[in-house]
Amino acid sequence: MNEPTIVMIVDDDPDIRETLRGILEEEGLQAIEAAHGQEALDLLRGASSLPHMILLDLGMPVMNGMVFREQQLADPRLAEIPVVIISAGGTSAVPVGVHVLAKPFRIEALFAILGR
Amino acid sequence: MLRLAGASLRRQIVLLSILASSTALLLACAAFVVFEVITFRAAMVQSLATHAQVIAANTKAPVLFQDARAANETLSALRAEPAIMYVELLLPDGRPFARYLRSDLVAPPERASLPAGVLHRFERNALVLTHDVVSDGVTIARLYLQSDLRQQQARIRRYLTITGFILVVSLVAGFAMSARLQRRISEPILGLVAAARTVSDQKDFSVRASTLAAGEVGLLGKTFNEMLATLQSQDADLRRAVAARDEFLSIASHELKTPLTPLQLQVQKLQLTARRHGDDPLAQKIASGLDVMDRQVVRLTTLVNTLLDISRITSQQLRLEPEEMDLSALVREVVTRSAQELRRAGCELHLSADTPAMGFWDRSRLDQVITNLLSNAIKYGAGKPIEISVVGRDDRVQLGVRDHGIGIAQQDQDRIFGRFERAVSLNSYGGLGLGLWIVRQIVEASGGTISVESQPGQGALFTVDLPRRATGGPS
Repeated sequence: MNEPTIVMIVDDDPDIRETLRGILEEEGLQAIEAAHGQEALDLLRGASSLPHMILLDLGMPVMNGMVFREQQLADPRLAEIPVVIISAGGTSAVPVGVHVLAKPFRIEALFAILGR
Repeated sequence: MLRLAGASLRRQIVLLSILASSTALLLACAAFVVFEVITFRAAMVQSLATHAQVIAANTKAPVLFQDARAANETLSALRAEPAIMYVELLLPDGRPFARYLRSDLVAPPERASLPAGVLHRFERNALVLTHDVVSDGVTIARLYLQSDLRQQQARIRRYLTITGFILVVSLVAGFAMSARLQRRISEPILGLVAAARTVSDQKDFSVRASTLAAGEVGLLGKTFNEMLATLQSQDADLRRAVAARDEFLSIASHELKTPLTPLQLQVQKLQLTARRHGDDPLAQKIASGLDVMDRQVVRLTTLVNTLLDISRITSQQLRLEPEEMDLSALVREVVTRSAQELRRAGCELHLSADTPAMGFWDRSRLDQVITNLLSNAIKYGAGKPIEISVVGRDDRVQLGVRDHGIGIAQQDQDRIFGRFERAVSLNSYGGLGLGLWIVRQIVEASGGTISVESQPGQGALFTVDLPRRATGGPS
């Protein structure tokens, strides 16, 4: 049995986090939740095993998604983790080379991103 | 004068002042010349009359004594007066008694006959004067004198020369003066013009005109600046209002879409769970209820997106993000996504989009166009087959969506692309009436066109014609 795939969910809306966690766990994945960028960074820096993917909201209190992304890229240990933006805003402010799931998205789109 | 209208302000001022001053100068010189001619002529007559009087006095005795030699001698004293050409002393019966002819003349000039009572007259080239020689109240002879006008003509020529000289000198001086003085008027106005041009070209309301000029021009500058200040504050208000609206749009978009996200995902997650227990009748009931919920969530999502699109388009914020893409592949993707909808409507779909149709377009906007046209075809297609085709030509690609449903009456075919328009009654078919309007906005923003061919009851063919790469339009 391989190590379970870990997906980190960074979103300030607890309902979205709970829903995504439910779907991921039903698919046999492991989910880590963070309510904002700072919490996510703290969790990542303290974690022994890093997630395989980060689902990142943009508009969040304390530390928004853009700042999180910058911090993540600045940290060589975290920089390689693929990030998928999940945002209800426009897609114009999204950094290049990052996947985007525009909210509201369908479960098929999420599965496609997760590669299932 | 007509040419003045198009000339610059500087030129106009200089020309006008020169025109005015030269007119005044010309009138003054003309009056001066006329006055001079009149006084000179009076002086000439006076001088000739004096000579006549002297000669008359001196020839009285020769006439009385019939001494023609003495009379001729008296007349020859007129040599001293070069203007006098010819003098004749006539007896009352008209016989000539004595005469004088200026030495340079061979024959006496033609004698002008003066009407009775007229003592002198200016002929074309001569002044003619007669004077009676009177002795004891009896006219014993008459003097006829003719003087040429050379002197007068020379004098007039001299005057004209002087006048011309004065005119030229004063025009040059006037030009120099007005060229310098016009700046006082033209420069503040030209400053105003430059300020107005900056405002109109660069929409920069922060410039101000100089108000240093005196009088009306200064007042004009002041008023202009006040107007600019008003415009500047209105412009700032407008910008703030636009910024506030944009911010509201962005917040509204976020706020409306955020709750739809877990709703959509939960419905689908429950659908999957219910399907896993497909044998259970309760699970089947729940699954069919969830199908309805899923469709309604999709519908709500579409409505939210439509309303946000309307706001974006009306506030001219429809920004396209073109990328290299294959329209055929996108059409196949949309068709796959709409499979369930097609099945529910009982529509068969014939797709001819096998060859790639590459172009530089906004993928998600074109997705919207295809989805919209297809769902219209399903909605109004009456369950009959639908055909979708993608045809690539040199630098354009055509997308055709044909249904065989209720069709569109001729008079409605232009109208359906308008905002809040629908060709059918609201009671039979729902919807915001915005779909085709948005489709048209997207197609036009991409540099393309959309058209429809239809007969009522025969279905409709919507054709979107897109350039592979939009030229000139917003990119």
